[in-house]
Amino acid sequence: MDEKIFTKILVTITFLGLVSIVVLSVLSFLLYKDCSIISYIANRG
Amino acid sequence: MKLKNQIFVILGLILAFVLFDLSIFNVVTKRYIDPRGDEMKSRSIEVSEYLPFTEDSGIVHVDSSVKLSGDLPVIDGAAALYPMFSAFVDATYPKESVSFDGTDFTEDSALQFHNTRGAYQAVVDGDADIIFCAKPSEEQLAYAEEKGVELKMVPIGYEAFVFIVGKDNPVDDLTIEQVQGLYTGKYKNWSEVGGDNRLVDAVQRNTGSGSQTAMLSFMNGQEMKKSVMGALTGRAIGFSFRYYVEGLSVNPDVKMLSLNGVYPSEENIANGTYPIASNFYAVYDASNENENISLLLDFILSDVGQRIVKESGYTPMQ
Repeated sequence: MDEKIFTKILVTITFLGLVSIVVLSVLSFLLYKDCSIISYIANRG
Repeated sequence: MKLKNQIFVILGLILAFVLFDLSIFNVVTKRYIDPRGDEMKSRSIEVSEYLPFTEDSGIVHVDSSVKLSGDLPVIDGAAALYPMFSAFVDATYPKESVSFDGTDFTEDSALQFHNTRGAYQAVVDGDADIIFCAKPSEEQLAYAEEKGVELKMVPIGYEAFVFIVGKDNPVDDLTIEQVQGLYTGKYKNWSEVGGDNRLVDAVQRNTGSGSQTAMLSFMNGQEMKKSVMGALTGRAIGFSFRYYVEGLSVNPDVKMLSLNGVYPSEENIANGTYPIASNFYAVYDASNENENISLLLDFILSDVGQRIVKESGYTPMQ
């Protein structure tokens, strides 16, 4: 594989990976904020 | 670099990001419980804290002239009512009739605890003589019919059905129509009912639980829908019986909502202004000939029995 193409692929994957970390962190935080109420409701008899 | 090595580097980089993402998600959301998963069925009350015949128990102790003997009815019921029916046993049963091994009641114990779903099955199967629960679900009624059992239901008190949200939710009051709309999907965003701009996560319970049956009744035939996006990013709303939220399982991160402008306080339930207070029942098989059943029911509906209902945190019949 040409070095330039290889470098572009690495840069693209790194960019997508960083975006996914940001998106997932936000999603996880939002979910976490409601964890206590969801768990509370879920655990009732 | 050789092609083979390049492919290894690319795959390695992708794998590293995937593993990192999964670990973030797992660490941050590890407290999350799937509302439809098996953990829904887990016990929600520390049985040992409300045992009868124990001085430091959390139940109400009363002096009763009614003392049952002979063929003692096996008692079971819902988690939210367990401290109350444990107090009935404390008042009227001999001490040796209850046996607890530190985790569960033993098989020969006259007091059992299997929660609403288990209790309805037990009374139909003949494993329990009287259970204390909210109304049965359609499935539970169908199961009784299939087994040829007629269930007798004696109302013994009132309890409010309440809606709960996280304490940081700015909404404090909803109308009945708004709550129904949140569950049908008519209102998808909290901003449509006076809250902030967040999706709605309308959490339900497992089929057959007392509160889920009460919720189906509250919805009056309207279909409840679940939003995947709401579940992932929204603010949650759930439901329960008031005493569970106020007494049995207080959670500082959860608050009860007023309904039609009326807060579900004990006073508002008793004076009838809170709009959705409903009965809970002593339920037994109509063909059960155990004479102690009627004696126990008479006691429960007497002044002393109703005092237990009231002092346990519920609203008595009188």
